[in-house]
Amino acid sequence: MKSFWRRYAGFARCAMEKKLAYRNSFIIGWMSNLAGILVSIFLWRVLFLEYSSIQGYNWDQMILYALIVAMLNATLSFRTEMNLSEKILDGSIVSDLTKPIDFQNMSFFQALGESAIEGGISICIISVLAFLLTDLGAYLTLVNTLLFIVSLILAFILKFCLSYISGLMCFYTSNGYGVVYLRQVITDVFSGALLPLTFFPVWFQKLSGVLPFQASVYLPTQIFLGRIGGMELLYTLLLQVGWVIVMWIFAKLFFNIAVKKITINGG
Amino acid sequence: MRNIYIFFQLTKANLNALLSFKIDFLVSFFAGLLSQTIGILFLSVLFMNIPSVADWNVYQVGILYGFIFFAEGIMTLSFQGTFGLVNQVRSGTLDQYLLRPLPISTQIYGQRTNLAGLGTSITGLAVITYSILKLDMVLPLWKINLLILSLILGAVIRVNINFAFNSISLWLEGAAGIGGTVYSLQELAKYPIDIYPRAFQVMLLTLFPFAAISYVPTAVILNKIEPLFYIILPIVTVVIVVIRKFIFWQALKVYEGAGN
Repeated sequence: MKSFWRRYAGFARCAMEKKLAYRNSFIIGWMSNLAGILVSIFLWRVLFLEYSSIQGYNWDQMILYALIVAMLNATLSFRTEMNLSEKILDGSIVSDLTKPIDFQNMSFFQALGESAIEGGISICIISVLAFLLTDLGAYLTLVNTLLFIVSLILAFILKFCLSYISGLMCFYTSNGYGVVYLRQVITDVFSGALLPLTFFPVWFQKLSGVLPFQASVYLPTQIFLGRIGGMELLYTLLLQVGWVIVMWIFAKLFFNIAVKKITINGG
Repeated sequence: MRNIYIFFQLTKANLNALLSFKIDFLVSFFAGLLSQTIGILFLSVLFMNIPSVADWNVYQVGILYGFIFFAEGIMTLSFQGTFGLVNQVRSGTLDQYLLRPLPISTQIYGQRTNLAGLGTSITGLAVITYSILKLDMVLPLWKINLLILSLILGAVIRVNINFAFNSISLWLEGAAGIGGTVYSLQELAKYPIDIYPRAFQVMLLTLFPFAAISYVPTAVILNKIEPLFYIILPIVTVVIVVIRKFIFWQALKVYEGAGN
């Protein structure tokens, strides 16, 4: 166990340092996220002047929902995912494959390192916004916060699995950008990143209920907003754990099949 | 005229290069179509739950979306070189342009052609057409002409905003990401500017005139503001072109080249 950590923690540390070296570009990138957040703040502000609640969400809950989604989107970003597809497309994956390590574990710890920085900065910005715009304190009870953190960690691992799998698709196609884009459209819609899933038609809610994506965004927000309670809470966390295990194993199997497809020109 | 001829020659060469990778050609076209689906989905799902935003219904907001999509698509299709200005400095391509006996801005315009833009533009036109049909409006001839003129001016404004702000980042080396940040501000113009505070409204009509691309023509066509306000659109177009030229020449003056 100890050697496992020693082996993989290095990858996380390396990725972290790399991210820190380019922290300015990440912060400037965050300014672009702010435009999207601004739009939704003003949009909801106008709507909540007219209605006191929309689909059971009041102002505080809606804004917190949008902010949590923004935080999750900025953590484990587009870049992390493109790294894997680029590695496959330019063939540098070969040097990783020759190392005596598990490729998936390595990728996970690299993503973890990058996301520690991304997530840290995101949480700071989002907390300030949430504090200014909503009655944040009311949602920060001890039990609620702890459960939310557990749920976030599970959501992060799941999110990693989903983007890892889409990155692996590049063994089959040479258009990494297209694959990542498609994955993003699918997850944005089915995970609840676009709007809370209860805003969608019933058939769609049923469909997204049986897919893994909602466990990566929608479920953590529901826990934070206190919209899930009692036995259902336990069930929700178990569902997240279940999806993490299923997708992690699926990714492993998929890698073993896909890696046989590898074609590298030259040398 | 000569500039336009050169621009099309460059585009033709780009297209030839693109066509040699046929699958990628198709994938980027469809990626362009797909890239706007998220926005349209958000719009339609949101309006399943509410009737209107600031008295604008879903199809009226749809026209705003369409104008923004169209202008962005044209920029991506033919003028993406303006976006990569910083990279051109780093890789030294800009020095190459400076040495050729051709206008520099024309070379930058024609540097890259990306078919994803065609998909985006077509989506924009489709959204506008669909929304107008759904609104059951009979457009008099002058409004149809106005619509077409607005699409063209909108694209001109969009390209020049991009060029201007990327030239700034050529000038101030630390501001490499400023182009992307400005780019994201167009999100604000996908909604009626009535929902923003006055300061934002002014900003979206002057400093970052994205609302001139979408809000001004749409509101005139939908009779939401006086037709007289349409004058903003040509004024903004002229001013942004002049400012862009000025910024770009200033940037070139201080430009020192990246290599030896």
